Amino acid sequence: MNRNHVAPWVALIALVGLAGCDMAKAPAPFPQAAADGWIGAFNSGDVDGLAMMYSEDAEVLPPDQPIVAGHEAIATFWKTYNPGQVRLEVSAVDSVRLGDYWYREGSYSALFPEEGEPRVGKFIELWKQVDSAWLLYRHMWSTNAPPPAQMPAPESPA
Amino acid sequence: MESQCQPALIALLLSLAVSGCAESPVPEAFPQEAADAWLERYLANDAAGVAALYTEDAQLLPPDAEIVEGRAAIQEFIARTNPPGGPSLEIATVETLMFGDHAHRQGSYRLGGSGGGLPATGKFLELWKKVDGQWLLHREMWSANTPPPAAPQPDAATDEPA
Repeated sequence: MNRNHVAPWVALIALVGLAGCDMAKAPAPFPQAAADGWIGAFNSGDVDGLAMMYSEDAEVLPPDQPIVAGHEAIATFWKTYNPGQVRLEVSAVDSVRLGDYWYREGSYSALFPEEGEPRVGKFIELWKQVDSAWLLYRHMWSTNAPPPAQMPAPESPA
Repeated sequence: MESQCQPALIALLLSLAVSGCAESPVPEAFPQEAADAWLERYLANDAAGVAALYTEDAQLLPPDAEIVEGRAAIQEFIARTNPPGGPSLEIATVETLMFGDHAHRQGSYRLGGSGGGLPATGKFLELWKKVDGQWLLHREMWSANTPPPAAPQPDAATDEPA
């Protein structure tokens, strides 16, 4: 190998190195299709489909109830909401990529049947990539005001 | 350049190319000392001290209440909801995940009963952020595991998903 043969090698290796870095650092957008799928399943009442949008080790952290873990328990939990009867929308959403996870937060509005005004609240989600699918790993929310019949002082934070 | 130098040169370049991508130092441990400081100050009713452990644009996401944003509002909230003589608070860490300059913590809490009241348990999620080398709370959301004692037991879930 003479000097003339070195230059192409150097260029090739440098190119491979740079391309590898670019691929590793390319910002991937939040998996909106997965989040839209969750809302679609909820609003259409597809409870089983809803449960499958959580990872096997997922936990739902609902207000005033213990943690709900695992697909079967999560499906049972969502059935109590009669999700096909509730019209749910999210807004003011922000997300940040955290390693192999996505953190997402935002506001929601849920109009229950026979309720004139929607319940409004905020949520936090942690999404996790399992194989090629983005799945919910942690899911927590609460309303912005107590139910009309209940006006307790806010509890202390943890 | 001698031909025997070429393998060494190529190996060096490959090494540089690979090391340029590898930016994964030893994972940092969850900042437990900051979390311990939070509890210590909370139990001492030091609302200003607690608020100083949050980022400038931090948010509390309390149950049945609007988001509380910023240190001043957080201090006011802590002072109002944790007056001297209030119930004890115990916290247990359930899971931590480290993401460079962010950290996730999930935990459980037990709020001791006061005035003969029953203790309340709950869960929380936290997002920590490293700002100028200091780990600070950036998001904090919690809720009880049972409805408030005065509230009637609902037939189904009382809140809705997001």
